[in-house]
Amino acid sequence: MTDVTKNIQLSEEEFLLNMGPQHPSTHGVLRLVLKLRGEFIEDLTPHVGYLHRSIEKIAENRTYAQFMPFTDRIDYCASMPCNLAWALAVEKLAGIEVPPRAQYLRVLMTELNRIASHLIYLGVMSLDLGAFTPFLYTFREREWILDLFEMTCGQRLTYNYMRIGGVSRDLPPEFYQSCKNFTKVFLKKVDEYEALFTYNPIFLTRTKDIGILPIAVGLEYGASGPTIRGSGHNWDLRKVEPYSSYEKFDFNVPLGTKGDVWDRYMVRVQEMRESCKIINQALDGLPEGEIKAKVPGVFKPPAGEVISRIEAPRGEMGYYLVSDGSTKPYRVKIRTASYGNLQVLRYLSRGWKIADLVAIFGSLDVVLPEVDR
Amino acid sequence: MNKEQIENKITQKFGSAIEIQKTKNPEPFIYVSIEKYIEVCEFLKTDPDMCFEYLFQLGGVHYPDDRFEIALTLSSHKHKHELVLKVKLPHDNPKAPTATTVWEAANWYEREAMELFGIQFEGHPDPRPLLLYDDWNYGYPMRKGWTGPDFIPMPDKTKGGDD
Repeated sequence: MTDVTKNIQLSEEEFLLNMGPQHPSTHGVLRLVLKLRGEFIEDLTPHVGYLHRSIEKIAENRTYAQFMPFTDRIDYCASMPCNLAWALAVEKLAGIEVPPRAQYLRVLMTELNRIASHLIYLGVMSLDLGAFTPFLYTFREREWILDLFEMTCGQRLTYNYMRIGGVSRDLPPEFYQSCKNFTKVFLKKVDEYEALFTYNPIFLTRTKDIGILPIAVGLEYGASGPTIRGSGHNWDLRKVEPYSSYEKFDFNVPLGTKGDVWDRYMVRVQEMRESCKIINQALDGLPEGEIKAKVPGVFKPPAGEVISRIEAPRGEMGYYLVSDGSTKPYRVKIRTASYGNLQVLRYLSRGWKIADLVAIFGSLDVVLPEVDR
Repeated sequence: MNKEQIENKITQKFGSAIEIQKTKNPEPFIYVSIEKYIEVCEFLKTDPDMCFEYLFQLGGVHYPDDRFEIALTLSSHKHKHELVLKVKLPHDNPKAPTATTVWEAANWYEREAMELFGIQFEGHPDPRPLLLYDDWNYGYPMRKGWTGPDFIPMPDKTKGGDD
């Protein structure tokens, strides 16, 4: 092991504290070396890479279709958006037109996954802050979503649902009613979460005015998604650069005002409600027709380069794809939201206590496999 | 600004340092010479018509004949346009000035490219490895043709369908 303390100058009142890699609040494996003065954080160095699987290298050794299941593993809390971004990149490269029904199914699944992902955020964040009960509540609702996914594609965690040119399976007959019931029940459950959290004095003390992120700083460090929308920056790729027929859906982009931990929490809670709206619209307006465009078995897209961008639950994710005209991608660069969001942590946590760091880190909703890839 | 306007403006400003890549993409793909790289970055970020204040990603690419490139995806939240900026690096010694002076976000992307591709970024404030483990000394794994102790290449099967 290299000595991380080597280049850090300490005065007499300062000391170093190692947090992680296995720490309950790091949601995966992240090591933070904190430079402290008493209980206050002077500086912080994140050490990532414990979950590095070199997915980008794997991509170069697989065909375009074979790489789809690997995209699931980039962010296992929200696999559908990772699938979607890959499918969009390859379709853009090859100029494939996706049938409308497949586009709607993609939106439906992505939004269900967004809710599932935000539920993990909510439950785990509450655990970090010392409240155990909400975790059980949010995972109860998440279970229903996983059942819906299982019904559709047979998987509960890594779905491998999207295909180049469409999706793998159509909805089973019982899906419609179950999903409708879910959105109806879930909106009431969101009210329940809000009753537990939003104006709870303990929660407010832990989150209000903590870890304020100015918009300019967030953009500079590459923060995106609810992290930057919590500061009031109106930027949602679903609205700005609609993909997969998002332009046909009516929904709002929730914004925070100040950019503290509480604002980021509020944005996510409201996004869950908006996602419910989109799911209902997708279910009711689901067009008839094919679920997959015709794609040749030996798929060789033309040589060239494309970029794809989507709004994943944690922020912007996308691929930079270089093709040399063979069956395998030449180079895939994966950009994930947590990568940018984690870089902001150093700025955000300076001057706060260790207990606040846990709240700040929780509010960024970082998923470590997405950072390490 | 649309694709043509961005391409025209940047060519007018920097002339021969710029090479426009012909693609079917809606975003401009632009090559910049290594000498003008940081100057162009600063222009792209600060110019009121460009305003690329957001670095979406930065990554290295290893082409045949040991040719290295870095590709930056930039996005402007003000004007809602995007751009891919690419730099060809010197053959024998892949080296580029750091872009962290322009975008803070470049910090980790450059660290990643440094350890995975062996591209040096001069003036980087924190050039430690990012992803690989501390005792790693098996070279630069993202280079083409790299092999390491646990690396087994996939058999070349071009047959087989989608599902």
